[in-house]
Parts: sequence; C-alpha cells; structure tokens
Amino acid sequence: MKITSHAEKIDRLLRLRQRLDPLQDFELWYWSGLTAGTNIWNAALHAAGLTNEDRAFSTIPGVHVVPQSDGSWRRELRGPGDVSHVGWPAIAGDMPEPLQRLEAALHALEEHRDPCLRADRTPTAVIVQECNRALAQAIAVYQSLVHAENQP
Amino acid sequence: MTPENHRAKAERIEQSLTKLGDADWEMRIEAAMLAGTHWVNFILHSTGASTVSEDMVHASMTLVSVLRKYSLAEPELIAQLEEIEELRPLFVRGDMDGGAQAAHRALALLAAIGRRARLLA
Repeated sequence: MKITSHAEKIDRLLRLRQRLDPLQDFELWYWSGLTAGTNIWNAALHAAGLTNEDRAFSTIPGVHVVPQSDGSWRRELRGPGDVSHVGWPAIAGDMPEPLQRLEAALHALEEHRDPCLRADRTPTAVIVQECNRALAQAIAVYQSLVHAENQP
Repeated sequence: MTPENHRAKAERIEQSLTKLGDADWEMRIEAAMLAGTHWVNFILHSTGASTVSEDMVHASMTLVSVLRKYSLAEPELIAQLEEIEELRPLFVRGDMDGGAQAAHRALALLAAIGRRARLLA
C-alpha cells in the first residue's frame, strides 16, 4: 500500500489512541498502537526500498488481497509487500540500523499482544509504560525515515 | 481461557467501543474481531464444542478440520466471525473506500454474536 495511505492511518490511529484510557480501555488502546506500529513498519520498509508500495493488502505471508479495476478484489500469491505483523514474514536482505531498531521496538510491543489480549495477563502501569516506550521508539524512526511530505 | 474470562474480555472491548466514532473504522473492525472471537470461544467452551485449552484466535487461522467441527456446532456464529475477518485486509490493512460502512457491518455482526452469547450467559 502507498506510504501516504499508511501515514494517513498512522495519524488517525495515534490520535484515537490518545482518546483511550491505557488501562480502562487497554485492549483497544494497545491494538491501535499495534496497528499504527505495523503501518509504521510497512511505510519504513517501503521508504527504504526493501518492500514495494503496490496496492496489495496483507493477509498471511505470501498472500495479498488485490483491488481490481471493477471495484472487486481477489487474493493473489505475491512477493514482498505489506506485512500483517513485524516478522511475519521476516524481511530478506541487509537491514539498515534504524530499521533494526524499529524492528526491535515493534517486537517489544508485540510481546504483550497474546498474553494481554488473548490470555489472562492483567494489564498494568508497567506494561503501559513498556508499550509507550516501544511505540515512541518506533515513531522516532518512522519520522526520520519517511519523508515529511508523505506524512499528514 | 475460561468462558468467564472470555466474556469479561469481550465486554471490556464492547465498553471501549463506545468511545469510537465513524472515523475509527479500523479499530471498530478490529474490536469486532477481538470481542467477537472472545464471544465465540465463550460459546464454544460453554456448549462443549471446544475446551478451555482450545481457544480460537482467528477463524481464518484455524485448522480446517477443527473449523469444520465448530461450523457444524455453530454455523451462523462461525459465518459471522468469518465475515468480520474478511473485512480486515480490505479496510484495516487496506485502503478501500467505504471503511465507515464496513465498520458498521462489523459492529452489527458483533452485536449478533453477542446476542447469541448472552443467551448462554
């Protein structure tokens, strides 16, 4: 997907995240940050030329949903493009240092996903702090890698 | 997870959903997926179609033979969850037009799933 589309989603998701209470609304607060993070990852990979900006939407690794000219869509087997989660799939090739930092931050964010959203771990202020720190690191790399003209 | 914990998670997400608007279509769809999946697990566990150690994460990621079993037990429910999941690549990860309308559909599907669950609660 185009960097501009990722950027538009990142902007809206981060503004929504600010409206939610980190503990009372933890599930959606966390998920809006996670989804913004995945868009940051895709936008940064596109900007670095490691994946393409084709308008093909991620599902599982290797399968994308591709809009058709008549307004319909279809699933296609495709090469590297948008991913649904950091590391899923891993990105081939040498990764510049800022992207390595971004990848590590997003993995740190993802660590809370299943325990807090799909298991019995109760969110705490410490977990909130860890999520905030990871996302702040991701945003800093995004702002340095993705040209300002692509950001809302 | 126990049925009670699935129910608690689903209800927390539903409560947070009240803070979202039409411009938040990605999170409305994701919330419908998250809460809907918790409700589906609540129902499958409560009816004995699955055990507390057999939580479904996504219908689309469930082993075909297992999903077939769940569909036999709760055909309408599984179809509703699958319809929510089908919206995700298009409107959450994609930039198709009509995100707000898609989110309304996702919320309607979640409401239907929740109604079925509350009959068992």
